[in-house]
Amino acid sequence: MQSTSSRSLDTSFESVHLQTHAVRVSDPGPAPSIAPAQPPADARDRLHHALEHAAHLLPDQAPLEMFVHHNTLHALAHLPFHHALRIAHGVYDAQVYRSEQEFRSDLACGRIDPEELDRELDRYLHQRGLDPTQDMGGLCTRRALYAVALRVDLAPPTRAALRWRVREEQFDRRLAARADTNRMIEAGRDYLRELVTRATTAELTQRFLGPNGVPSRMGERYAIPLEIGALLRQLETDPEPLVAGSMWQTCRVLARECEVHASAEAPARTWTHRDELLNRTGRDIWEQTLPELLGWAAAYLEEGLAYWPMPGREAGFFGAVRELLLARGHVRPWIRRAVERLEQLREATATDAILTALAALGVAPEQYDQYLLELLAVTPGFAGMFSRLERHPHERATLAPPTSLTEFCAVRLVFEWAAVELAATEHGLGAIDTLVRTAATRRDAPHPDTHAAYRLFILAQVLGLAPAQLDTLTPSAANELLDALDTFDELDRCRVFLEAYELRYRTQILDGMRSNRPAKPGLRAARPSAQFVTCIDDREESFRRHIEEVDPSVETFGAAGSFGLAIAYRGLDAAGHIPLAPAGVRPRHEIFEHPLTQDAAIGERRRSRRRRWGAFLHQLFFGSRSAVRGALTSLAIGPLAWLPLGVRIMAPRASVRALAWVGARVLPKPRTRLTNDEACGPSPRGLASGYGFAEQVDRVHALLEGIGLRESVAPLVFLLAHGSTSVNNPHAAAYDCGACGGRRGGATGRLLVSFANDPAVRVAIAARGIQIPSDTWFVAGEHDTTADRIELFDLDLLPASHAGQLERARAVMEEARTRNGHERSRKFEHAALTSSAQVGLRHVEARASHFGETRPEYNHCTNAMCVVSRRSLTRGLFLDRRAFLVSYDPDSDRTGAVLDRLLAIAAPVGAGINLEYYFSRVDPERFGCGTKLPHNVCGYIGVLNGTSGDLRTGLSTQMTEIHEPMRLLVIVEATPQALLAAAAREPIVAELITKGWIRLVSVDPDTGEMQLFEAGAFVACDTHEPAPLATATTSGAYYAGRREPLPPARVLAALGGQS
Amino acid sequence: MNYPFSLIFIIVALPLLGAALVKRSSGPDHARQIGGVIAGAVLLALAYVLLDVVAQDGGGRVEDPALALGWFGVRPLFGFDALSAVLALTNAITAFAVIVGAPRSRDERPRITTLLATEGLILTMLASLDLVILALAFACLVSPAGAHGPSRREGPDTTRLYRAVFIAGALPLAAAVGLISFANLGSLGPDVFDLRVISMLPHRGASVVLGLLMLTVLVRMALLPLHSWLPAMTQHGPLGPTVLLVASQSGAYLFVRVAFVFFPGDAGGLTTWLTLGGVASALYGGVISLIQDDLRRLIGWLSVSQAGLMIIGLCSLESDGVAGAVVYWTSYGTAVTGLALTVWAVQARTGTTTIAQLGGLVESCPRLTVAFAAFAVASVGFPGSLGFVGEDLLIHGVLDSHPLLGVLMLVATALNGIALIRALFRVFLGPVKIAAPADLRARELWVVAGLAAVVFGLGLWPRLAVDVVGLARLCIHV
Amino acid sequence: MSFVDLTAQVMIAVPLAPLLAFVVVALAELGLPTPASERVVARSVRLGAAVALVGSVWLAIALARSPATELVLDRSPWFEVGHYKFAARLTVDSLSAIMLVLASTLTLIGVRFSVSYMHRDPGFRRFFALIALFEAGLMLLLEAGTIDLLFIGWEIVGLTSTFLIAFFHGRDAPLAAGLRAFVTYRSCDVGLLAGAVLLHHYAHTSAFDGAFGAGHWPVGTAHLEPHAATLIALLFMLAAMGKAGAFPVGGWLPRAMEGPTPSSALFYGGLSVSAGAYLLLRVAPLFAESMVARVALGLVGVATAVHATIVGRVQTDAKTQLTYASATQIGLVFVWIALDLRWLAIFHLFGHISLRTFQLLRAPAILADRHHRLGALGGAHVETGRHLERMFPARLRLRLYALARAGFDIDSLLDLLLVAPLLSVAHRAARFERAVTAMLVRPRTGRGSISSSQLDDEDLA
Repeated sequence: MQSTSSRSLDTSFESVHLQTHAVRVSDPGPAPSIAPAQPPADARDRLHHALEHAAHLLPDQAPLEMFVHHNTLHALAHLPFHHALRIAHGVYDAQVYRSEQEFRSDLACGRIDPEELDRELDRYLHQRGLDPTQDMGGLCTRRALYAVALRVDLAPPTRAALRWRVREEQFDRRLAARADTNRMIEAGRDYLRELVTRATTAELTQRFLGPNGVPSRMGERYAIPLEIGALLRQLETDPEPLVAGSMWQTCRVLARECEVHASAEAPARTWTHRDELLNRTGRDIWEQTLPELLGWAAAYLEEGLAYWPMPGREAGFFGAVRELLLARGHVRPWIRRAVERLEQLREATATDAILTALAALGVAPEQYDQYLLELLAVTPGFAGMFSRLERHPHERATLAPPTSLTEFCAVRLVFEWAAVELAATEHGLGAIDTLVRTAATRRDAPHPDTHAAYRLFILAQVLGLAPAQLDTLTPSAANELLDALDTFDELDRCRVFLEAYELRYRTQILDGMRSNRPAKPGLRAARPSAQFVTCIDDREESFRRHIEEVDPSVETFGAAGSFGLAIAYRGLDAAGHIPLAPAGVRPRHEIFEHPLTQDAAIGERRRSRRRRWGAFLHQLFFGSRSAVRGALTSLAIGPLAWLPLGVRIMAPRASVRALAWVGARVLPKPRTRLTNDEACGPSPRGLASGYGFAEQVDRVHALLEGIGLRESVAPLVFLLAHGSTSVNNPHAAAYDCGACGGRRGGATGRLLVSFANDPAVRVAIAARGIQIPSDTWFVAGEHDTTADRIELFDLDLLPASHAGQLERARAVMEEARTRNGHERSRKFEHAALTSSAQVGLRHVEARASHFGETRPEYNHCTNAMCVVSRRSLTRGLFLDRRAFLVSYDPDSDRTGAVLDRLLAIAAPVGAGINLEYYFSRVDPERFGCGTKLPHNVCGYIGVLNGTSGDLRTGLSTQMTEIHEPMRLLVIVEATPQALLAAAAREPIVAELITKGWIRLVSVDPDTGEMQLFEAGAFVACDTHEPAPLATATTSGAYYAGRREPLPPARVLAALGGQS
Repeated sequence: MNYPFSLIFIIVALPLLGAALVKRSSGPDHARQIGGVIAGAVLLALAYVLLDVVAQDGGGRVEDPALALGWFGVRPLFGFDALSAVLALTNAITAFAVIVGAPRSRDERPRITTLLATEGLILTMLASLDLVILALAFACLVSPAGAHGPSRREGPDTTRLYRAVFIAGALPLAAAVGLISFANLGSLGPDVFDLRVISMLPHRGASVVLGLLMLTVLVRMALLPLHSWLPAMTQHGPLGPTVLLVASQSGAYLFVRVAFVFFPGDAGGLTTWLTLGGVASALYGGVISLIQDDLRRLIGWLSVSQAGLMIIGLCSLESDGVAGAVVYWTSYGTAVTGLALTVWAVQARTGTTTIAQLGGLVESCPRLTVAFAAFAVASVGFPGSLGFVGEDLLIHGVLDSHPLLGVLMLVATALNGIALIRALFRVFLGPVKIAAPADLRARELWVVAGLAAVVFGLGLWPRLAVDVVGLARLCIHV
Repeated sequence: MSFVDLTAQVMIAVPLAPLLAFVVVALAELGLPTPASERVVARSVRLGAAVALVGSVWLAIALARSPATELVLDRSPWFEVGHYKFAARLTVDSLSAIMLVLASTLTLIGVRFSVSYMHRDPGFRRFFALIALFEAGLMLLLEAGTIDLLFIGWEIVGLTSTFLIAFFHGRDAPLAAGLRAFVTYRSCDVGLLAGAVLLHHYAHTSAFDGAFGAGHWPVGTAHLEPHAATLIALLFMLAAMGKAGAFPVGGWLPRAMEGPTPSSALFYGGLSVSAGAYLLLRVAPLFAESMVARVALGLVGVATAVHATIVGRVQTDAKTQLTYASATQIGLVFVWIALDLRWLAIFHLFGHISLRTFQLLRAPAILADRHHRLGALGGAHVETGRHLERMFPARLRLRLYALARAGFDIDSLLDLLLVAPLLSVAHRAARFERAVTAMLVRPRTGRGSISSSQLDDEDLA
């Protein structure tokens, strides 16, 4: 068993070696080296290294408005999945799997299959090189023992709990009710009857009262005296107490002869001054220093929430805090001490301050890594934010000063120094520079009864052992048994559970696909009536399915929602430019939305009215918070404020409609266009102000090629980006389009459509082999995933010839969105399951406008797979909104270049979303931001719990509560060879695959053969007979009346009647 | 009114008989059954007696038939008036709750024996019409627990504690009784020990007797400066008998039954001194309970503080003050029993009552948490509980005559409230430090619910309780 | 049933309906083997709140139509001993009618908001039970015709506040915040109870109309000797300061935002903190009698408003900003009361409560609001806090900012001057007591004590 879970982690990623044929990712066998390779020589270097190291392990979350999903454990992504989880468990002291209890209830309700669990257990034993048939003390095999450990809770109780169970629940005098309990009791009675007649008093005492037992206590335990006659009578009337009691005492005797050790070792950690002081004095200095530190950090980072911004921020965090603290006198003793220290450091830079403080605290350079990490990891939110903004300065508001983790660390350390010094003086602890060390957490020595006897007794009951069998158990055999149990610790058990949990889902999905896959997947029908291209987002899966169900003559495709563009976009009503691009891509083009020339007057009116409205809002916002203006506001507006509040809360949907109606009257909206300067002149911000012709052709071609739309282009092609509408939701950005950097997509599709409708572009594309008929028209739109509304852009440009087709398509969309809303509403407990489609739609619409709604939608919740394939593989398959669907045509991608491109976006984006959900779900407090209910927006950059403490990172429980945490199942319609080749060219994808952060299945485009990438190689996973696939006429008929996640089913309507 | 047969004697003797039966029972289950039945029977019988007393207008007295006592004349030895009947019923409730609702111990027999014996002694003390019997029962109250507490094997050595409490309580009382009889034998003759009579006659040597009695009262009420034994006993002694002892407030009873009668009409120096002791205890207990690190010890300090409040009310000699004190007497007795049962349940489940080691118990025991919270607010007199009525009366009684005292009492109750809520937050809420194997079991739940029903039911409809207490109050103002 | 009888029933029903809702939810939670569904719980509490609202409106109308200036329901005594009677007397006059309608409206809105907001939270039922109990207490407080009944409502409001602040009890911060609020409440409530008893003592009644002589709110006047009026008024002021989070005991108020948004909005944005102002309005005739008390109240009000507005300006998170804004306005209301501008005070209070509840309930939307605002402004940057730069030189500005960030160290000073000495006395006393105990109780060697975690092996046998 490897037990490397110290905090020393290598910051450099291991280079990933991908061996095309047999990559043996050894499961956490010998731990890969995680110690720093080359210790830097000098203290300054070491400090630099330590900060980099810390930055790496801190959460990497952008400010709220730029929320993008990413793997929470990005720092450990270079390690195999289960191994990384084990390390994360130690480093972050976090849950990394769901609890065993949850897994067990899944097992009970069939979500985990018992046979599959045993199969995964075998696979685990094989991977760990353990012999499943090894005999355990003559009682059972190792495999049987572990199977019991998986199914029965064997966690040792506390001594008090055990005592309580003995006294109140007669734990030791009753056998747990099982099928064979009666047999056990009878066997036990016969055995004891014979034994009792021959035994001496001492033997009887030991048998029934255990070690240290005294005969006088027989009465209080069994209400009979310790006499052979009484015992025999009792055995006849009610043998169970005596049988159970004798077994329990036998276990206790055995336990005293075993070596008992605690079942899990606590990881070693750095023992800081604070721990030492806490230990010695019971006072926690961090309770003093952290609120002060975090208060300053919030003041420094905030982006205009406070009426008075922090003065002197240009000097950097350390400098600004220093000046402010020195500017006034102080009451609290430790701050007075800190001010003295800051006075000494008046001229020092942040780095010097850190080094001085570290020296004074007696931290040796070789301890920097651990010590700083220990300190910074206490406030991961703010420390992570300083570090993130240091590395991504463009995410900072325009006027804000630069940030740096070093500066944060400097203030942190000076505070620590002052507080430690003061506490040490007050409590007479002497020199403070000798207090840091590395120490394992001390644990009380385990008690034989709780750790050994308890488990032996439970095992004996579960295995149905009679007292006779228990008597044959030798101490060494019992030892072996307990050691074997200890080896199979909770993380390992959960690992087996997780694998079985994923296997059940994988089997269902792959079986479904096998049944659904048409004989000739490449065959496409005649020219469809319309084509819809949506984002690959899992939320669009159901929408596409419903479109196809409503009108089987329609085709749908999935492509990343930025449609291959990356723009800095400024909408008509926007305050400034926002990047619409996948995370990590910096836009190089700047695009505006502007009113049409003939609507310029309206546009101007709108602008000026909005300006006045904005000024009013500004006054109201700050005014209502100040004293005099606040009083006037309270008197003037206040008395009626309950009215809008009441209406908005009692009738959310109607009031939003009314507001929209008023808004449309007061603020007329001009028709608009996007600018695109083909000359690519530089914009004021130094970006190109448009795509050039060649770029336009490239982009349109890349999109069509990527989704495999090379022929039979329909008369109308819709490009639907997506966004989300919600009120009262600080995490709104997480609900928008991930491919557009957490923004509403819209504009990208709209721009691309303007390229694609350009005849010149079409000519150029035709030259590259994709024919777009001249009667084809592209229409862009935006799908609101919360209210399920679809807005189409630039319809005034649509040729009159297409009006009829547009009407038809609109009717399809209207019906599809209604059905989609209904399908979504089944997941919400507040929606009645029996309601009609219209009611379901109204329900989700109300969610988008309700102030009190913490779940405007379930977002990516329940995402579980990513399918990169032709639609034929999934068309008509009910995937329950759990799949990212990426359109890809293997037939037209002989070189694999398209696959490269798709995988490079889909795999990391999908895995990022999936893993963030996974970790936020399994440990909502460490990895997620907990429940939303007390959240409070701090400085426009993050949320706090209440009004104090650290920034919370990750996803809230309201976003993840119904998620089934599993790794993303990526199914690609490509041969294993093509996949390995593609992965070899994309290191990030390769890492995800080989280290097991996603599960990859290859579906052969021609034969349909399915192979799973496992332990470094593809293995066939379709050897069994697939379970019959459920069939329903429509999706609605299939999910009707059910809330839980559903296995795939075939929906006939989408297949146009072909069954 | 006289009963045709010695009903009261039988009631009083029942627990003692029960104790003997339990001692000889075969096993723990049997012992529990006997204990429950006896305690329940006593409870019902005392309820009947109370009804009887109340039925007599103006709060008369019910007595056993007179006994021929030889030289001591012919007189009944046991009887109840409104005050003692109310207190006896309260104690019977407490005893029943502790016998039935406590967590099971390793062997139930010594525990139940002790409890029944203590209950018997308390009832003897309350029912006695004879000074000597009263004094004997009073002095021996701590003996059963000290003699064979179940903690013998498990707990620390408390022999000294019990010995000290016994001697400090018994010696001055014995001296006082001796003095009374010696000084008054001439004038009173054999009636010197008849509690019904001695109150009506002038006394000699009152100041010394009063001094001795005050010492006894101070000790038993755990008033400053003789208070330290109570927190020690709640922490280290057996919890059940200690709770009975706290709830009985035997010191206060001795005060109203014996000491009061020595200064009819005139409070003398005694009330002043006791009031001072009461104020000091109330504040001292309040302050010190703010930082207590042990739940059981916290209950001890709380009791010190509350006893202080009660004695101030008794000494105010105002009708509302005295009535408030009696309401407080009963309400705090019931509430503290509930509190002790919950703390005991915590200890049985987690093996500790150290606050620092506990935390987050609500996750595993939500009902236990609610019970603790309910009794905590009840024992510091939150509105809705009977304690509020008591507190309101008390403070009205005191604030009128001594405004400063009243404010200090308010401060003390404020401190007690803070201490209990702090304990609630530390032990039951917060990050989970320790998990309990189970929530309250049905048996415990019923007992706790019954106690809560008494405290909160009477708190919402206090007229019933207050009217009865109004009668009891008259017994004090003889 | 006549109109008068019916009105009397309504007066009882207004606090009773939420109380019954609380009892139903609490009993279901404790008594049922499986917890009641969210729907049942939410419906009970909504029903209770709706009855309270309808009743409040009814009472307001009845008051307007009635020739009398107040509606009185007297079911005295609740209990009596000797000469002392605890009066059970409900009174609805214009002040309570206004507040009743507003409070029950906002509570109903808050309850509806919470049905979706608190959905699926493990503490859903606890939350609704506490909100119902809170409303019952508040309604009683507003309807109370005597200071004793008001105290009952006051305590219930305080206790439910404490538990709602500490609602997320799995973390330490909410607990510390809840405890801090409770300590403040409990300490300041000494003033209310002492004031109540003294009022009883001097005026021989605790009923408002009795104590404040002729006339009714807002024109009543108290007929008390000036020194008594001063003393009682100051005691009530202490109670009001604690509840309202006034200077210098308002440190708990910003921390109170640890609870879920709706309860924070209802309590600390509006209703609960206004209970302090309500009490002062209720006893305003007392203040009218005493210049000392008025000056003291005025000073507290000004200090609260100035302190809160300065400190509020440097706050960086949405909810804290709003609490300081709330404290600012409450401070101003205190000033109006000190100036005996009772109608202005009530009007200001009304507007303040409803505006602040509105703002706090949508505090999580602050990002979207900013987005909207900046978008409307078209990206123009609007500087804030410029007048600070105009008014103060740079050095002073730094100092003022630093002081404001620390809340002028008021909490630290209180800790240092009041709490620390008390605790140090307690620690010393506890040490002494431990020594005494050690003399009486000897640990047994080799065996653990029952109150330590060590248990004997035999216990398990």
